Amino acid sequence: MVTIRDLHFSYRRKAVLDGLSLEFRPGYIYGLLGKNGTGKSTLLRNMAGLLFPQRGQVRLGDLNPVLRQPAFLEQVFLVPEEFHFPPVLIDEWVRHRAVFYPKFSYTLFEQTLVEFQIPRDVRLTDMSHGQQKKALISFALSTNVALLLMDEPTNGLDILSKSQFRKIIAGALSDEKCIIISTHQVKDLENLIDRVTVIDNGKILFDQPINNISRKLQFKLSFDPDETSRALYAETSLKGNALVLPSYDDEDESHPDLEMLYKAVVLQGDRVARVFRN
Amino acid sequence: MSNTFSFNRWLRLVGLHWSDHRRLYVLAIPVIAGLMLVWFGFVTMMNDQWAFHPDLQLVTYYVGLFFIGGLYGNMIFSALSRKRESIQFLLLPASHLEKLLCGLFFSVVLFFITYTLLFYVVDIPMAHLARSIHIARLERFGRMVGQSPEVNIFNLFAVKDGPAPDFFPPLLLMIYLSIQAFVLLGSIYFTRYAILKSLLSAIGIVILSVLFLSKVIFPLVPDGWRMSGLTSWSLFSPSEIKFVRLPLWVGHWSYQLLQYGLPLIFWVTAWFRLKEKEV
Repeated sequence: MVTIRDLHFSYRRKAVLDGLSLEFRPGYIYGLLGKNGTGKSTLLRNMAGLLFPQRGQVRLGDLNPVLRQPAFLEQVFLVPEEFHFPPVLIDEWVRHRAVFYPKFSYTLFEQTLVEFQIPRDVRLTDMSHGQQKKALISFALSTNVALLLMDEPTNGLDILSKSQFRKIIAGALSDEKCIIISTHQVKDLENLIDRVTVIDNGKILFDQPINNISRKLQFKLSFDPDETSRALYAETSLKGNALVLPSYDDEDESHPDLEMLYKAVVLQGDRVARVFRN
Repeated sequence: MSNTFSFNRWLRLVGLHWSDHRRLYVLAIPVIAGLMLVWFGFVTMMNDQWAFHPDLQLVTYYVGLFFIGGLYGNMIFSALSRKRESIQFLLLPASHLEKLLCGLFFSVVLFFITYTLLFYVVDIPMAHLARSIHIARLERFGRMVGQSPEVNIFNLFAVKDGPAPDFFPPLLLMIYLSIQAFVLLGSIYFTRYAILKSLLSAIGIVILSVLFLSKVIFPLVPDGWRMSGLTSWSLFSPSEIKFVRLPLWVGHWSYQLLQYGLPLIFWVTAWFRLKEKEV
């Protein structure tokens, strides 16, 4: 579906994306993780056609995002970190925008609004930031676009809304849709994503499906000094040492702790990479 | 549907623009009318005879058109200077041509019609009111009412009232369209302080043109020869008078280009710039 080949992008002289090659397929939710300023948003905007690659290419099927043709834009929706709403009621806002998306589902939109508890009688500009974000996410999901890009979607959401978000996103996925979520709040994507991609300094540091991570790595709490010494990454806590260990038994799958995985990848990238090469 | 232009999609875009900006426009209409009313009222107080003179109406019409139309031209694509809004604008599933034509529909066509209607809605009664006040004043001082001139409403489309009678539509209207198109282009081109940067660019272009003429073109012309018009040169010396003119069609098309071509050139450039816009 989305093919990225040798993508280079820089702001003036500062290289942000340095020869990225990736592929995103429909039917999956991808988590794009990385520190602030590592190029996650830049990658999403290159995919949406808001920024143009300086070298390499991005394609959605046969469509080139750079041209921003309606046929492409009808298939892509970006939920940006910051957004703007005019001072209108949500129903009016949606009525004038939904007509641009051929697969827009009013039923799904109604359901999502109810689930997110968005008030219908309040102007969008009078809503809280969290409510506005949930309104935009509801609209984004209802467009039923093939490629849904979300940049830090859980920023500004309270704890309950974050779990609602995970539930709604998981329920909205279909075989024709590809959802890419960029975030630095890795905990928010737990139990949601199918593949983890970590970007650092414009390069792919780690890119693995969740089931592979579950097979190859173990995430556990332990007081055992022997286990701690074997860990790829260890963190002390009152409950014991939080460890990321290589798993030698493919049958013994462990539930990935994304935050620990992320820290292990960023701080012990080479050791983690060796585990996945084996 | 076509990826370049679809009338249905364009209509949806117009509906969307109206829905998003309706409140602003509905508020702006009484504000513009109020400003005109205050201005005509002020002139009537100062000099009631001058208040219904066509020249004052012409000046009022064009000053308002240039100023408000210029500001509106700068505003129509101002979303592009704000990251939050520009992402939504650029990612809306419509072509760049449709987005540009929607902007032009509001800023050029609808604005012109609305502004002109507003002007006459205020101008006609105010001109008659000014004349009534003028007559009442004449009567109070025992002078002949017949001395008062009739109300003569300025006609935007009448050649005789135009500032340059040889041209139709009035030259000022075409200059306005060029300036508004330039400001509109500037609002797409520049991300911050667009209107100031557009005006600075326009001033820069004028200065460069003058420098080009004075430093490059004029030194090439033999001594005593002067430019007289866009495509003619003349020599007035005690011994002889000479006149050189490029073929008539060159002059004709140069004027046509300056008069009608500039807005088109700026709009086409704005379309290219819209295609290149990155956020």
